[in-house]
Amino acid sequence: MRAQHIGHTWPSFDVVIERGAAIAFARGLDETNPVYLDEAAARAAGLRGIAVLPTFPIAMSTERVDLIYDMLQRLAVDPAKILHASQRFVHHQPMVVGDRLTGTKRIANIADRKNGALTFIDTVIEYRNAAGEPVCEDHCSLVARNT
Amino acid sequence: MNALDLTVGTTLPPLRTGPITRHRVAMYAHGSGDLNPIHVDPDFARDKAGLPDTIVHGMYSMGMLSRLLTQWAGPGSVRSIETRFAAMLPVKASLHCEGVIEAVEAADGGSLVTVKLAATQADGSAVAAGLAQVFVAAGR
Repeated sequence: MRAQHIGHTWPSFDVVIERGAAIAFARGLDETNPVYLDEAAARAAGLRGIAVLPTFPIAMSTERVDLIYDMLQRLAVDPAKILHASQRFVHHQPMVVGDRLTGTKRIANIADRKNGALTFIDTVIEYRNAAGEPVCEDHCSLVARNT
Repeated sequence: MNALDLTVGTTLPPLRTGPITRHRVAMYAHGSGDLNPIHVDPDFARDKAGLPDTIVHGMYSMGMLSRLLTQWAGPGSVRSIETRFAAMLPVKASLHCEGVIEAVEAADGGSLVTVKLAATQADGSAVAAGLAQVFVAAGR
């Protein structure tokens, strides 16, 4: 039974928003605004550091792809049968390059659909700063084809 | 008062990518760390996944939808963004991103604007759809 894994929480992990990673992500989305690419431009715009794009947390979760494989193994799901159904990010406060966060990932829900042909697997990663304040949330929904 | 038009029903300035070449997909794969061969290896896409060619990352489409918002309201303005992935986007296709203001409410120091998002191919077929909440500071 897969439902018994709802609520499973992995040990928290540290994340550093690195300059090279944030700039490569911005360039990957054809970003040209210098506040995402250049420290001096970001400071001149009044930011604490180089800005990161709203979907950058996907690169933070991909860095911990081992947690995805661990989850699929626990659920006995073939990675080749997985599709990304939906994704949501919540930003409680802006992140900039140099920020250090702690991420905690859990399985929020597992639900069968279409008479068991599909299983939706929802995970949440909460990121907090050193003061313990929430910074952002990554809500991911994967769908596994069971046929 | 805002310089930006926050009237419900207003369409935000659109974002159109032009053809998404293999090189641009590789740039996103590098930037995101998602090197799944279905995005970067045509042999894998054809022989292992049964597709005519590689596909663009779903998260590339979501990233472009988010840039539609940040180019309108500025860095750090997106409070939340959600996207449902409707269909695969083949490499070399073009992506059209559109946002329409659905609701506006007063928030501390500005307005919280709900934007309905749609990403389509040039022919109008759906790629992704979503919703975002964007903070627009008073006076922007």
